[in-house]
Amino acid sequence: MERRLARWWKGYVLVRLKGAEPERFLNLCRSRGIELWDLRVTEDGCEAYMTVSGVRASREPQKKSGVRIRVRRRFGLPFFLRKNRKRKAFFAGLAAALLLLGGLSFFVWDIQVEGNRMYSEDTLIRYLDSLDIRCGIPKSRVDCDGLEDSLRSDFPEITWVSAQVSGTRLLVKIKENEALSEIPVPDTKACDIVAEKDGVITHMIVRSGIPQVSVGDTVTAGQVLISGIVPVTDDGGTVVAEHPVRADGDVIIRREETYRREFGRWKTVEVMTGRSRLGLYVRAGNYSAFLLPPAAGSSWKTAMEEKQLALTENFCLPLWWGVIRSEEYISYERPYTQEEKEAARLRTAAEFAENLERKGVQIEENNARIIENGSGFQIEGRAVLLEPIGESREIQHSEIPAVEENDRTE
Amino acid sequence: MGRRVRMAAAETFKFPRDVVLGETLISIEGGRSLVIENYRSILFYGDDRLKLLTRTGKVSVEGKGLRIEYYDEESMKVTGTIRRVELEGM
Repeated sequence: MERRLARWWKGYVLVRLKGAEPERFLNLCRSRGIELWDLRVTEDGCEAYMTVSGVRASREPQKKSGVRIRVRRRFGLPFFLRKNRKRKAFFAGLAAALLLLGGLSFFVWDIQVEGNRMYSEDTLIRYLDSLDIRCGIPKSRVDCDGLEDSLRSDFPEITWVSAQVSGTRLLVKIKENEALSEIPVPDTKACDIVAEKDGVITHMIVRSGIPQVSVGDTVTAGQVLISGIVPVTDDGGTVVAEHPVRADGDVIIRREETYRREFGRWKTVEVMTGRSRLGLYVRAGNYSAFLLPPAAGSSWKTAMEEKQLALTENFCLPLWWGVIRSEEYISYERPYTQEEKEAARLRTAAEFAENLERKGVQIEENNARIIENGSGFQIEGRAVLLEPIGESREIQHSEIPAVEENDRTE
Repeated sequence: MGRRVRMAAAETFKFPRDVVLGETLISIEGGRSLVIENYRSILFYGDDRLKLLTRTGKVSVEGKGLRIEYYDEESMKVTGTIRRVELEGM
């Protein structure tokens, strides 16, 4: 490819060799480093391609071998420029385009952020915007070292950052801290564990505190499950002191939950007609234009993906374009069929189960049924759940019995 | 170094003969393309025949529509319908 480009740049010709000893000419050219390629034999002699400089250098081999070369066709830039030398407007346009490209290369036209996980690209782009770094600013105004320092100081979770301008693209690579930046301080305040829902206890483990209920008990919301006040007794069994601790344990209850979802009588159905339209979208800076055949009457679904024009990977231009695809559809309403109602029932039950399972709740039973009513139908369900409960509630000072105070004074 | 010494070295040390002795190396790809290395000069070039001089003899390529895609000091690539390759005096 490189060799072909070099030949095109310097110009090359198709020549015909005429004479008694073309082989001697070929050998002489070879020994003098004169390049000939794509040789073929025609009815009128041998034809080959030669560079312009090769033709000039082949005078001596021509004399020695008695071969004459005749140029049949010319290729390459020097011949193209000579042929089109009177087309001034063309060259003026070419020069203007090159000047424009040269001018555009002094600005940043694309900002790319890589390596971000915690901070979204949108957040970082908005931050860069607040530092006056945005698409369209001159590259000379981008202080990469300053930008790196600012990012590191304003985003404490970013541990490493590299900013570089390549072509017309500003590339910001970051690495975020994957370990915890500070160790969370455990809460050591004395507290009880109380139930936040009603149910029957099926499983209970106490790690700290005194259990107030046992497996099989029915509990109500707000009831203390594990007390954070630990009594200290003497040899006779009399409570001599009570120490507040942070109650800890796992409690699982069995409880029932119902759910309901309403559906209308009519279902909106969208049917694609198969007709589609293709259009073109162009945007330069804040100005945009699109070309789309006119729509006849009915509804259309339109999608478009915007792409930035780039000469090379990093030479982006301030021009965005996209192909608009539009597909026609007709929408109408009809009553739900029995199969669709059944599908809605299954879907509602599955969505309910999925939401709970994500929170660590086990589902023992999950039954849903369809109930017809005047305005449509509804899905009603009942599920039996095995759910972990228990939330910490701080022990107020007044709840700690006075016996402890008496004990201290003694 | 004499040819005999070089031949002995090639035999003893298993050196490639095309490198040590300059022997001709011919590669054919499916009868449509042929590359020949270590040739000396072109003796004859026609549409259906190409004859080359090598260090140890002559190589004759016969076929139809033979084209020399490139040739330089070391190698030559021939394309076209190659029917026969004949080695003379080698």
